[in-house]
Amino acid sequence: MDTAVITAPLRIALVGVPNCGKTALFNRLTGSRQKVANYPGVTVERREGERVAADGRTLRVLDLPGTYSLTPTTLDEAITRDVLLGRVAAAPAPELVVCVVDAVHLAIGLRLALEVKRLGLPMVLALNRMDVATQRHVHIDVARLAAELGVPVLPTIAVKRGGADALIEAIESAHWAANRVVSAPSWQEPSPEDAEQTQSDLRGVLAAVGYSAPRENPWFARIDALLLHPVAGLVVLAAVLFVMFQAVFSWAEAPMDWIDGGMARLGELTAAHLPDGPLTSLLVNGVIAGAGSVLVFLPQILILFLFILALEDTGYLPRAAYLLDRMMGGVGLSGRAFIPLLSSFACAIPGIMAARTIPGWRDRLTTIMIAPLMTCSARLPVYALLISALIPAKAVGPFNLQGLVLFVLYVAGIVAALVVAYVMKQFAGSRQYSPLMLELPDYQWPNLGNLLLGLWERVKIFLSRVGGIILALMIVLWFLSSYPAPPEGATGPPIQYSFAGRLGAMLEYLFAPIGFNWQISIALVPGLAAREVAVGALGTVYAMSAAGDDVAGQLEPVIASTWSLATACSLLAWYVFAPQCLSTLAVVKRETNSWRYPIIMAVYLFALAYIASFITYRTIAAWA
Amino acid sequence: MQQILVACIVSIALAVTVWKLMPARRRLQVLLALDSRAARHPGLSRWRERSLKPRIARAAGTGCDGCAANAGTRPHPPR
Amino acid sequence: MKTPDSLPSSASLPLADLRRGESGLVANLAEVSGFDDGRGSGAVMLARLRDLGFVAGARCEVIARMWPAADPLVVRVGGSTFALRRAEASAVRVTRLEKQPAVRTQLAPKDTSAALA
Repeated sequence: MDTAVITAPLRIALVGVPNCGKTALFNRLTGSRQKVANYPGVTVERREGERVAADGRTLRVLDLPGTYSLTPTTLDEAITRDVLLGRVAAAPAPELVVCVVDAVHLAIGLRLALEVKRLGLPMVLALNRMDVATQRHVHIDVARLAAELGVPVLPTIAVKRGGADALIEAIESAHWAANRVVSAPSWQEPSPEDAEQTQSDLRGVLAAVGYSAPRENPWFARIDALLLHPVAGLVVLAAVLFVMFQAVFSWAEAPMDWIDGGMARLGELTAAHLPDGPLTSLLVNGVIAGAGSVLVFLPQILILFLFILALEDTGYLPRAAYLLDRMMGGVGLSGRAFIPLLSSFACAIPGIMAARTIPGWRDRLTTIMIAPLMTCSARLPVYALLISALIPAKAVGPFNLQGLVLFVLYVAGIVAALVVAYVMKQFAGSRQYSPLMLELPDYQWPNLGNLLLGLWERVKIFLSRVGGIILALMIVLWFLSSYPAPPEGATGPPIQYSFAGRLGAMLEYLFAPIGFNWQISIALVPGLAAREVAVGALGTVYAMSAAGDDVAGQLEPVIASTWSLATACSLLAWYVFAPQCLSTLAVVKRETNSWRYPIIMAVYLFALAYIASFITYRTIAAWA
Repeated sequence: MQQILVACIVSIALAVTVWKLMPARRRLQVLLALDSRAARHPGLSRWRERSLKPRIARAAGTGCDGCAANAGTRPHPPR
Repeated sequence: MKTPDSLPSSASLPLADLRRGESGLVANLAEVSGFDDGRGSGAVMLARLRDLGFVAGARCEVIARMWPAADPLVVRVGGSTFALRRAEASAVRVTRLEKQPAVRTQLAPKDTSAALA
């Protein structure tokens, strides 16, 4: 009976205030390559990892969302509390709680630890960032702390290899397996007297261990004086974003040309070495022209993420949220919406999930509904393709015109989002107050290791998307574009007689008013699965349209020569709004627990897209 | 000959497309059905343990495709 | 040698009214209109402010204020830095501290000479 108890996996939960290094510790314990986040609210899903202990047992580690207290103000804090209390059906109460406390900001973390300790679950305290604490002249008597709390206290340095060894040793001792908790802990919301008691207990412990507040780093103060300044701060923010977009175009040029050339040569080689026939067409027009045309954009996406990840790591982003809070409040958004919305620039899906950190249902819903308008990274291949094809690479003053246009597109998405939020505010009726109360973490240099890991993760995600759904869709599209084959003596490219061609002809009626030709109309259909697919689809469709035996030229020059500026701009406007991503709609359904909101979202976004395209197309066509 | 190859590739592509576009819950149902079918053939047990079960765990977990929210659950040997 | 925190002026004012660079000692937390929507969220907000470190006797310093109306502002308390909206900051009543040479001790009124050595 004892062995059965010991061999069942031990359930461990990591708890702590935001920014305490909990997620870094989680990575250290489980070896999983997750992004280390250092602003609140990124850990919104319960993240589980496993570790095999020295004696062979399995340890199941749960990384809970950061919370300041067991009295929640947001959905993700409620998740943390409920998991600890064993109220969550899918996750029984943990058998061991590792409370992670940042040694530098001991007071706020320890207060939570005292609250958690009261639950009565077996607990261990991980005192993180002891190295930084020493630098900042914070001295903590660790042994005394353990004595005061009555739980083991292990110093950790989560970001260093081996930095969690003491903790690991403590966790892996068989002791925890033998004393398993049978019943779930009970908890009531603390009364003001309870809160007072906790505070005075806290003061007692802090005094006993000799804690004094960290010496302020004068550099932080100087940097903050600039970056938090109402005017200078906003200017710096705009400049940073601007530089980001310029870099995306100029730095990526060389690697993109390299990939492009490689794809073209691969296509030629394949066509030359394989006999004519459907397989060759599949490979050259479907795979290489299709998936290949999306692959080209990898360098740009990497550069974009380099900036995003570096900014995250430095601790700048909550400060940007502070600067923008006023503006966002004006349209009825919570300042806390900034970070989920910023995440949406990478992909709206984690952004929508991150909206769980926003207190208040109305605010959360507004944020969810406008998140897809934040220009996600999947739009980048579409934008980049059209801009490169039709906007000349001139210099406008010190700026690159193409980078400028990209910046404008991003701004358009943001402005649209603000307008929609404002409209939603008018419909909302009486609003509950939504607090900001956002912690601004210490500045730190971006960790190169984390950056590279984060970029590598992005590469893997991108390649798996290209090699997965995009490749599969391109093959299916190729099939639909090749069959049925044209009858004898037919004029015009064979694709017009195929399924895809006929579908395109039908759709063209729908899209003609906004200037989309049949190739675009076809490309938008598989493009519903993922935004970049439209680029691949255009690649395949145009490759198939090449008459005779020509190996399809690259996509960009073809577009440059056959599309009008009005059509290209119209497609750009379409892409700013259109929800060409079924996964996003699926996540909205999950997060809002109903069909109503994803349907409303799809309808309003498609409507906006059509109107914007219409106006753009008619205006430019009349003008040019 | 090429025709056969093409037909195979296209069918696989079609299957992958359908799979990826299926709602998460339906995918989980399919995986579970597959698992119970495979349980009846002891020869398949290795495949079940190695690839099917972890896949089910992942699908039951975050259910988010193609984005960084995926959590990896690999037992990690002690360092 | 410990220098006592300077004589606080007797009147208490909302935290939001402190200028940039000024410090205050928290006196108490007070409900502010517009905070509460009748469902007790006012009390929750006050509890949260307390949990973040805005307790009686804590020293806080205003690091930045947004123009035009200090909405939001950035406050350092208990070693951590927070951005608060004006409404939240108004719930915290402080007594203004006159400028003093840097005193690092906040929650633990301990002799700092050992740390300085």
